[in-house]
Amino acid sequence: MTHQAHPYHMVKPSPWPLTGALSALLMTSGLIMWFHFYSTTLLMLGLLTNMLTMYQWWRDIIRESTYQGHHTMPVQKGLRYGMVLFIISEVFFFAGFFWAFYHSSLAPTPHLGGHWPPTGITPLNPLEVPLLNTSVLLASGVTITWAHHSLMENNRKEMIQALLTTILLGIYFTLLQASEYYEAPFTISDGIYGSTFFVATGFHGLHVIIGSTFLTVCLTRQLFYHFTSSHHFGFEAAAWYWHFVDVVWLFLYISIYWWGS
Amino acid sequence: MAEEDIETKIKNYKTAPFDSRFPNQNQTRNCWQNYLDFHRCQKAMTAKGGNVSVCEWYQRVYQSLCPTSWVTDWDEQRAEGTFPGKI
Repeated sequence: MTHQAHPYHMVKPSPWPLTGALSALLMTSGLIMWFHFYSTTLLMLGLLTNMLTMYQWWRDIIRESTYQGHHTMPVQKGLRYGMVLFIISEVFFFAGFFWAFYHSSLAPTPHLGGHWPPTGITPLNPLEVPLLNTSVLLASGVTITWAHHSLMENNRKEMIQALLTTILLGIYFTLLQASEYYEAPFTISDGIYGSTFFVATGFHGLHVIIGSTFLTVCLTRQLFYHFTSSHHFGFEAAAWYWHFVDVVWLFLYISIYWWGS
Repeated sequence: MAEEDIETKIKNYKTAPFDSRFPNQNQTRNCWQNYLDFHRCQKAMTAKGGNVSVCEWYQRVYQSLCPTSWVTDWDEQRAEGTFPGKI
């Protein structure tokens, strides 16, 4: 009988990297078809194949780890590095949008009236819904830490409660923000103010939705007894991502909502 | 600064002097500030019944510095009520 004499995971051949790449091609060319020729077929096909790839790829990882035991400590270490590096890349992604915001707001041009917010823009009151949103995300940071400690202490019921609360807070944030978007007195096409505001907060909102989805997957897995008190990297990765999303919001709140008003 | 009054300064005007508030190559803000200052001075003096001619310094400076097309655009905006600056 031959067994591997090393702790690493030699992954079996998988079609998902290829389908993922193809979905990326379909999505990008789909965007072009939509922008220039008003057709969404290619884009919809791209989104579908992207969703299918993500579902099946991550399902396979759960099979390899939880059901087949391939995730030894060194493998988990590699996954930790991977998640950290991914989050760092996301930090750089947001850094660009913050750079754009500060570039335009620190030295407002005559076209804007030489001041920020520009002439004609009524910014949102930072002490109203944006402050509520801040408290919602901060609270969700507390509840997810509660969930983690519950998990590590083998407290199943509390872990589920705390994780569910975290997800509900995330959904609450999304609903509040959607309402703000609907009611805002300015739009994305209202000059550089509109552009920087909606692109930065918009990408943040997308990340909240992604984070909430990740957390929901973790909740499902917890309900199916996937996690142990000492091995639950999927949950930790989701928690890191969630804290990252919270921190980005804090920067957005301070820079754009508060200083920028 | 020499002990000359504003009228003599305006009379001896050649071109915009160095303004340490705007020390760098990009003089956009210098043009913009003087345009605003002239029109604010004009508005304030007219409202208080004062002598508008003291404001002429700012006008000389912005006319020296600003691209003419900018001045034309801004004058049109003021006429239309769409000028973004606070006067």
